[in-house]
Amino acid sequence: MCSSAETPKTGLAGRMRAWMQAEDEPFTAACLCAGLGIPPGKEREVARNALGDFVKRGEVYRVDRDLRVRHFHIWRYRYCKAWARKAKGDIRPKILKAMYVSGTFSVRDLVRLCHPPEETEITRSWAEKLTRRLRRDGHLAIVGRRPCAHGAGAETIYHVADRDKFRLEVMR
Amino acid sequence: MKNEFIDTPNVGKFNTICRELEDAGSLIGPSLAMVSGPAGRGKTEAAKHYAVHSSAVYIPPLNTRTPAMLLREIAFELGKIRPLRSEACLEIIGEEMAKERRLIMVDEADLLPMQILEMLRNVNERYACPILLIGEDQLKGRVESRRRLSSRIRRRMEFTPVSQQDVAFFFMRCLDLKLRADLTAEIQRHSRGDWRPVLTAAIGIERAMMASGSIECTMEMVKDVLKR
Repeated sequence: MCSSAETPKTGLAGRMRAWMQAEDEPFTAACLCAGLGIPPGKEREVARNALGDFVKRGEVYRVDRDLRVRHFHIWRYRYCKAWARKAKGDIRPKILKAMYVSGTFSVRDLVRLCHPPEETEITRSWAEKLTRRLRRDGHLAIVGRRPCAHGAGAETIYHVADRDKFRLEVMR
Repeated sequence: MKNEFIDTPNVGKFNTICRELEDAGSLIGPSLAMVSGPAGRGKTEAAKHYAVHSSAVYIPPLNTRTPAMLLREIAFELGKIRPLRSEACLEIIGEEMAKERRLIMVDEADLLPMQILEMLRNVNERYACPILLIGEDQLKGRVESRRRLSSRIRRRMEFTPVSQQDVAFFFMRCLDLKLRADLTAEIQRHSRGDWRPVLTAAIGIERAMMASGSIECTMEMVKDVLKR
């Protein structure tokens, strides 16, 4: 048995995910293989097994049996668009909660509230990325700038645009 | 200057109280606590810091709140819904507290009407919901004025003034600067126990040191910065 680190990456799961996400109607494993242009044989078996992994993760769910085929159990699947990978670290929820409890803040304030001292740079980078993304999505608004404590330059002050929306849609 | 959260003895005591309230052991006896102290001692910062690192709920100050508004706010924080009826809010608080006991920190509780403080006491008793009241010195008087309320306070804490050690530790952590005892004493005297003047002094001292190219902080420099 080989470990996941030794398994060569073929990009099959990524291609399957992209195809299934684009598919609005329920699909069978055969439809998926045909859609991806996988020829019948061993390669289709690999794709079928990979589909089982998607189901186990909850990324794809079984809808019903394909009634066009009466003698076999052929399942029809649908991609779960609300599925999201489980977050691995705890920095992101902390940064989001720091934003929520602060209301108005700068990136430095977030770092101060949520970082353990040895991880300042990681937290800063995460906080900057998150604020940029949330601002683009309209969850944060820039309300001004203030001089940095060290005297050089200025830092941007953000404000949570809608606290309730932020709690429901961003923090989940 | 580094923007760091300084773990002072006050913060340590604050965290201990919060952990005690969240602990299942606090189900025996009351689980209300009170933290008081003048503005600028770091109460709110400690509360926000604790909330970020735990599942505790931080209720930001708003002195126009009515009892129903506060109940809705707590219900929303716990259950993500904001029912119109107070009864429905209480149901949500009860359900959520049965699932997981989460500490509720109410900031600037000294500005809340007595009716709300009494309501919080009822919520605490009815749903075993741990509540921490945070406020300035007036909070003590308000709580002590009602025997029903004061006898149910499990822990009381007062944020003590910023000490000389706190100032020295702050400069060490944020500026990587080891100050002499007479300099920290001067800054501490000027701050009158508040963090904000210490922060302002640190910014001024760092700028003065950068401008003069000096690597050591002198008494003249400190006095000059504090004079401004």
